[in-house]
Amino acid sequence: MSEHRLVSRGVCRISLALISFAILTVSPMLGVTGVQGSLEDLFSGVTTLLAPYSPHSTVNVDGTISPGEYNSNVTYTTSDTGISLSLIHDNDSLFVGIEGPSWRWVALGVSSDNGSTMGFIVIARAGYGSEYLVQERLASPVTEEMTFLPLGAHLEVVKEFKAAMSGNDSIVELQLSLESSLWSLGPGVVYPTVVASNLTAPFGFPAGISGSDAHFVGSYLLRPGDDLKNVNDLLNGKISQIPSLIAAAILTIGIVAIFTEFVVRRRKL
Amino acid sequence: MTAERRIRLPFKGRFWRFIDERLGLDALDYNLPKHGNTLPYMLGGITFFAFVILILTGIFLTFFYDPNPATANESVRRIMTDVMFGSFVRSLHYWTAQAVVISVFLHLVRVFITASYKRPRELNWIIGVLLFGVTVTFFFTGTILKWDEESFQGAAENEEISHFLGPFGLPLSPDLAPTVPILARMYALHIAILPIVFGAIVLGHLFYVHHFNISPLPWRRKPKAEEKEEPREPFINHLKGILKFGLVSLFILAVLAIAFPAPLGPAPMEGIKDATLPLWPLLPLTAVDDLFGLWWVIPATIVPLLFLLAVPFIDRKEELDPRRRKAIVTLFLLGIAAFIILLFFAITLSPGRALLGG
Repeated sequence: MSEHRLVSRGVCRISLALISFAILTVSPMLGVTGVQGSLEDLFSGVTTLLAPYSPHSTVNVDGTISPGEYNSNVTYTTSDTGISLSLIHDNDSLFVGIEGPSWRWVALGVSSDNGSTMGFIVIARAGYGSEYLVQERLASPVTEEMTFLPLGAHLEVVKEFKAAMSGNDSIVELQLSLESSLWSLGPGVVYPTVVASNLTAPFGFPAGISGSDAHFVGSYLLRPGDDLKNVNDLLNGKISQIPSLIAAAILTIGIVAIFTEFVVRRRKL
Repeated sequence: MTAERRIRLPFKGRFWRFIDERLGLDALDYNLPKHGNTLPYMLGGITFFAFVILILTGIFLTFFYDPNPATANESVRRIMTDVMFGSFVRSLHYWTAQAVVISVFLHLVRVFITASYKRPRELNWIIGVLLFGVTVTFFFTGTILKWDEESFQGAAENEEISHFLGPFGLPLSPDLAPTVPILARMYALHIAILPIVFGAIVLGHLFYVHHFNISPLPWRRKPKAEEKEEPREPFINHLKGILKFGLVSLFILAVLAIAFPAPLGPAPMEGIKDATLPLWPLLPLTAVDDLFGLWWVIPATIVPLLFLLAVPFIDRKEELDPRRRKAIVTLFLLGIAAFIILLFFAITLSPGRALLGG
């Protein structure tokens, strides 16, 4: 081999090595980091509550949840207290149905301002009787331990409220404004949401919700064109990887076959 | 009148002579080594056949697709529900695109293992690597067009990467033309710019395949005196083989298109990120992003591409046998193994679904 060829070969190899080295060393200097804010930490990989769109709502705010009133496919049940929430919305209102064992209080909070504040609706039972109270509060900022600002006796978000006992279960129905001082909600957006509940302890005032009572979730109001199953699969991580698995398997088999054909078998033609 | 013209051929013969005189089809009348008609040596042709399917189905889809971000997703949904054969054609396009990535990848592996990049075919190898890059770009831009959450996420990551690249990333960045939606530019890339680039490069590729003929089998490049020369067969048999395998592939892809229509997610949502995973050819890059951060997607893309482009200049010995090219073949197989491992790793990932707030 000529000296010239050896030199050019060496130059090529060194150039490649330098390119790789440069790329690998410059990268950390660019300060590329995946910043995980507290909001992202709290709301990463969470379940998302879906509120289907129904232009002519079938909900009757009467303290009873009849079959078909809400979409039972998207009911969310808390894992610890077994309280279930059903949501549905029209152009102006979000309807919430809450049902479960006789809880002392339930709270639903939604942040519509990038997690800076969280608007809360709190429903609490006065003692263990069948008297229910509803309050509007504001939590700021959104953290594991939230305290609330009471927003006064006047209800701005809650348009209608009805609660009732059914056997050992408490049932509450609410009609909430999408546009209010507490929040501004619209379809097509996933909002950080907190669902909190407690079966025994009374709701502390002015102290708020602790992490043990709270479930960090998302909430999403479906757009008119949204397909419920599509959205549910996407927002709740039900993405099938079977096609990818099949494609990856075909590719792997193909590579092994080529390797076998040309390196191992070497058929004489 | 010449003697040739005086011969009265039957109609079929006259018809073919008429066509041949005008199209120069006799250029295809040459012989190939027999191994050229085996499946591994037809992968390039099968890929080309699949590209023809993609062009035809793609033309159909452009009649009904609307590249406006506000209505793109809805227009794809209408293709699937309202347009006659729309669901089938889009699904065939979707499955064929994936088949193309598999066949082009396997073609590249075969060419590498058999050292078909060696003298005098270095330039054609480089053209082939560029075609591979164009194919992957085609695939990426195609996944953006349906403009669902997955597309939106892909476009967002593309934008982030373009910022890492500084001025070099400007063509990929929305900053180049802030008033033009990135979707419109991806559409222009997918249906106009890339086809022109692809057409020009593929013509060069085919020309050199014809010019240099099929590369020899790596273990019998120079037959010994006592060995028989490898039998040769007409090139038309090669074309027939490609057509046969192509039609079988088309049948399988059509069955897949009917049985498993191409998915379409909801239109992009606000307030969430990392809710989806891309299609499998892009999954290894997702794995790199997950393991090391998005910036590392850049070297993970560029370094293998540079390596492939440099291969003919690194491995310059005349040896073709993969058993005697241990170093470069091992390096290549390690790269392939890394790709497959990252692919399978990414399949196990579940989307992060981080909420960002409304």
